[in-house]
Amino acid sequence: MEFLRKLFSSSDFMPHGYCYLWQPALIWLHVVSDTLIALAYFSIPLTLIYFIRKRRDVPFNWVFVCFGVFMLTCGATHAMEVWTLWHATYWLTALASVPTALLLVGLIPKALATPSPEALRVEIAERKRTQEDLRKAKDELERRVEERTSELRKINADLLAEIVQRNLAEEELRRSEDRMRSLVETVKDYAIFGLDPSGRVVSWNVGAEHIKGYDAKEIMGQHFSRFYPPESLPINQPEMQLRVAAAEGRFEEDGWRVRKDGSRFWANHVITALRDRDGDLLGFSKITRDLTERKRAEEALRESEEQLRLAQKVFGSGVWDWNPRTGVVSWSEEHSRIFGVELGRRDRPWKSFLQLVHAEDRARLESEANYALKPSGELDVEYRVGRADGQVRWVVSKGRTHCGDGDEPIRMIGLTQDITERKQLERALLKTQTELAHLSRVMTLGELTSSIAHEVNQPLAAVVTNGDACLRWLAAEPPNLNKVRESVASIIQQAARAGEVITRIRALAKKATPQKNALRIDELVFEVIGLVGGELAKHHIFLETELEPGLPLVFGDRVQLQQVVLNLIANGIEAMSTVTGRPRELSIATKTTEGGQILISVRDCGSGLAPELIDHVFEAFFTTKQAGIGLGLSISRTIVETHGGRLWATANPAHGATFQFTLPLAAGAAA
Amino acid sequence: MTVESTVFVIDDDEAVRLAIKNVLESVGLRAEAFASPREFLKSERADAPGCLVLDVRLPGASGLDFQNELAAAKVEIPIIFITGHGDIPMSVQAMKAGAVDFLTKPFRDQDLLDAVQRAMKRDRLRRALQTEVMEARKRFNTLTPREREVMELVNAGLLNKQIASQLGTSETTAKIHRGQVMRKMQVQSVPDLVRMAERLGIPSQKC
Repeated sequence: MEFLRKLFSSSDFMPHGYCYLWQPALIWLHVVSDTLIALAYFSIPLTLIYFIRKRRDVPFNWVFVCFGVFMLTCGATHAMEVWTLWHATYWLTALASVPTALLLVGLIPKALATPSPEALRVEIAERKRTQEDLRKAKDELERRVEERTSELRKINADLLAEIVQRNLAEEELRRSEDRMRSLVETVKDYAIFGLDPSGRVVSWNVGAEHIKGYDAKEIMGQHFSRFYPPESLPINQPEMQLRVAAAEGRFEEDGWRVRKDGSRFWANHVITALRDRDGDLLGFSKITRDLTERKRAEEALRESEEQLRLAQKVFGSGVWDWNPRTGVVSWSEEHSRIFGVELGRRDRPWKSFLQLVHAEDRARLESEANYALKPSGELDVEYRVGRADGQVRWVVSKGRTHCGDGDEPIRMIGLTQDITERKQLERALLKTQTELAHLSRVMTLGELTSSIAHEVNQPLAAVVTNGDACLRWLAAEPPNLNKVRESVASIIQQAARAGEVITRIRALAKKATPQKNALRIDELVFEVIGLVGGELAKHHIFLETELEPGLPLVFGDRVQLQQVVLNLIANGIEAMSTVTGRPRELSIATKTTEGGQILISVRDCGSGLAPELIDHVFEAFFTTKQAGIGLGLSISRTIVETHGGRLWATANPAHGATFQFTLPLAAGAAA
Repeated sequence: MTVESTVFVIDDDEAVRLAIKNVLESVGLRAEAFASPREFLKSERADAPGCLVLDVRLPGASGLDFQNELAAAKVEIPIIFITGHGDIPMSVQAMKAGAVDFLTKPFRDQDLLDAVQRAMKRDRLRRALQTEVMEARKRFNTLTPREREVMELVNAGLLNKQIASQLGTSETTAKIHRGQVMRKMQVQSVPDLVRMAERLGIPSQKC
């Protein structure tokens, strides 16, 4: 050990430079030459490193590395030579040189294996060929690889797209499931719940809670048979239904169920079996819809249909429905009964239907119906039906037009009622009214006898007086023939006047069926004034007339309308009979109203009407007179109303009252 | 027949009033026809000599009302009423109010003409009387207050002595006043004076 320690110590040896001290220049020669040699050696590995870095394709490049290392160590020995000139650390030199030698020994076989340049040339040529083949093969391979790659890329892209799509679909599915779940959970009108195969509740939605009254917490795990009414339990209905659903996949029924509070409801139930892919039963879904309202509505509808049928029967009204597009009229059983056609046949073409209508009314019905065939058009027409059994029945048809979106009439629906009895009553009433009016007229004439006598007497007095005068003009010397002529002309005129009065009175006294004609209202008023002039004078009444000239014609019965005017004048005279201290004035006016009617008013300045009496003056047997029987105004109103007009009374601001009535114009009336 | 006298016919019925006018004219009477009293009054003929043929039944104020109206206005034209119908109470009322006659239409022309004659005569008398009264009043107006007193007392039938005692004068003074009255009133006798006093509307005081 001591030996070894000494061997590696520098103190026991002398630095190598001492050997050259005999000629100090030698030291420097060694320093320079060794340094240059070391540098030269060091440059070789650097060059080699550069070479192999640039030519990675050169085979056996590790040889170059080894060679480089060898050169490096060779260079290091020379560097050590310089070091040992001044330091006696020869072990270091040995350390550098011995491994180098060992390395070299190891390198020799390898160096030997390094091909000679000639062999290398041959090999290179071969290798070139091989490389060429390889290159070709490689190109082919590359081409294939390229192809395969692009295929793969495409497949990859497709896959990617599919994945994206699948993700989207999954997302959508998830969302749709969410929606479905929230739908199921929130839907209120349907009880939707799940059952396990044994019939125990496993899910419960709001609708179920709403319809059945249980909340989810209390019902989960309970058997669904509790929803059934007690009477269905002994026959094991719930189980049976599950079994059917399991066997057939689905079970449906409408039936009674019981709520939590015990109340019953009518509902539609669907039980659906739920199975997995292998067909094993997972459980059931059950959907229950509360039909109580619908059942009630159906019952109400049935009831109302029954009522309608009954109403039609009771009121003798039939329902009809005319479709102007198909031209078909269909109707109810009662309608058939009214028309006296077989009950089974409930529709006909319009033209064929018209054949059932009385020939005289056919054209009128058709024109009325066509007129009503427009948006919001309404039909109201009375006509006769000539029945097969020979009976003629009066009917009234009322209907309304229904239109489509484009305002085109699509149907007209209405009722037809048998009004034969009503018509007979109306005729009887009209007859009674006519008789009553006549009676009243005669009575009025009776009251006016003295006035009427006066009206005849006046022209007669003129006739007699003129006759006397005439004789005297004749007797004169010479006879004044001009005066004779004037007198005779006046006699004729006044005799005719007396005749007219009598004719008018006879017309009023006559009992005649009312006959409506186009009339001049002012003419009619003057005729009446001609009868009551005496009565007016007797009561010292000033008569004022304001008759609008050129009034259109009215349509009515002359005698009856004269009676109205006569009654109103008589009424006015009566009202003024107690008036003293102011002129008694009676004013008769005619004019056209804004509504296109004629208004006739009779205004007096009499005692007037107490507001509480205004509504009663037209009542039959209402009278303020001692002698009257109170029919005049009542009959007048009836007459005016049968003429399509209106008669009413108003109190005047100062004195008296105004009685006025309207009359519709005659169709196409002109003055 | 005095030419100035006119028969005024009022009837609202034109045919009637013209017929009456016709018959009156046929006997040479002057006649004017009116449709109403108002029209007649408007013509300012109310004071003209003549008479009125008036229809009872007139619009507004009746013939009788008009009669009263005229009386109230001191228009004393004689009136013959004609009426369409014999209304007795009305005719009585009219006659009481001084109507000359009350004829019912149709009347005989002679009845009308007779009535017109009577009315004309009454009108003439009335007018004469009216002239007399006016003359008497003119004379009466010339009397002194004392003479008027004396006249009233004479009219009352008192003797001179009684008058003197009433007035507190001597009988002679009373006699002189009386003479003055007789002279101024242009009467010859006491009965004449009394008649005149009556026309003047002096009451005959019976003490």
